[in-house]
Amino acid sequence: MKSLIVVLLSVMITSATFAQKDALASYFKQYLEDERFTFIEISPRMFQMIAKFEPEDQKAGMELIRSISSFRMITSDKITDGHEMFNQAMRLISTRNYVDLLTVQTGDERIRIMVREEGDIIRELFMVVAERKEIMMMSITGNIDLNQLSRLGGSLNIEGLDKLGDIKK
Amino acid sequence: MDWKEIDALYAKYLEGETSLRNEARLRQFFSEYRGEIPPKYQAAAQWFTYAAWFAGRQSAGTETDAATITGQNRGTGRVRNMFQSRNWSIAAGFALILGMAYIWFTVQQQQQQQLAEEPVYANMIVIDNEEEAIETLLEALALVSSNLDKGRRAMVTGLVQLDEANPFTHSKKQHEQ
Repeated sequence: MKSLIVVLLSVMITSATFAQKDALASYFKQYLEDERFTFIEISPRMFQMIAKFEPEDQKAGMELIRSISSFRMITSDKITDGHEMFNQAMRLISTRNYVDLLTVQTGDERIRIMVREEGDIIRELFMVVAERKEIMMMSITGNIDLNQLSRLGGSLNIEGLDKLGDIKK
Repeated sequence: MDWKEIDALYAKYLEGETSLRNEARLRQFFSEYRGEIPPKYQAAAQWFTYAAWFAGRQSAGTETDAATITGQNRGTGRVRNMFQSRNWSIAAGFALILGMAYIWFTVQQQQQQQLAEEPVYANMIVIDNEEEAIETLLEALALVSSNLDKGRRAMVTGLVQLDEANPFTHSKKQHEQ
């Protein structure tokens, strides 16, 4: 009986934390109402459909995509204070919930990748990429495997930030 | 005991002057007497026989109660404390699980409601096309992956530079060459 209660409690706690808001919704709501920014979201219903979707050519990364439960991104190229916004974002994020995975500063570019963990599982990956005149913040939640993610780079030929901004409105 | 003595006791009884011991004597006599009872004592005989039977039953009941209190019957399965019963612990466990499940479902419902109530922003793009969603996700993941790689490369470059700047390891390498 005791073990049953423990299992039930852990399932409930896990589910409750799994359902919590992502970094964009928690810390950067002000940007969602800012007209200089574009806010991109994949509807939660879409993830249910993707889970069942079998593409004709088995694309690399499909397994990784199926482990994602939400995706949100805000981006802007109409700013002039990208570096200041980047620093501000880093001050806003709670270091109690998010741990640094990577920080890169090369020339004009600033990159920070942070993760929210639950035990050994990465529940959220939050990335901020900023240059002086543009910024992008991205939040991916789910059950993310970093090893799988780092292997993905070689299998796809992606330009990067500029390509993500080209999504049709 | 003869009828003379019973007659005296019975007269005292009717006057309300008998002791408990006298009454017990009368009960005993009438309940055990098997001979012919004179008409004068017919009613008394019936009464004392009943009183003797009732007194005997009461004392037996008292013994049962005493046995329950002192726990003499414990383990026989007849008298049990219902709160120590296994069924009660199972029922309490289920009640606890039901309570927790109710709280969990309520919290889940509230969270889903909160997410559903999120406003739609003017500058918001919701991707609701399967292929476009997959393309976007692949691009996003590839971007994360390439940045991870960028970080890794920067770290390797940094380590090489550190190695070259270290006079001890640098001179050692030159010496080896």
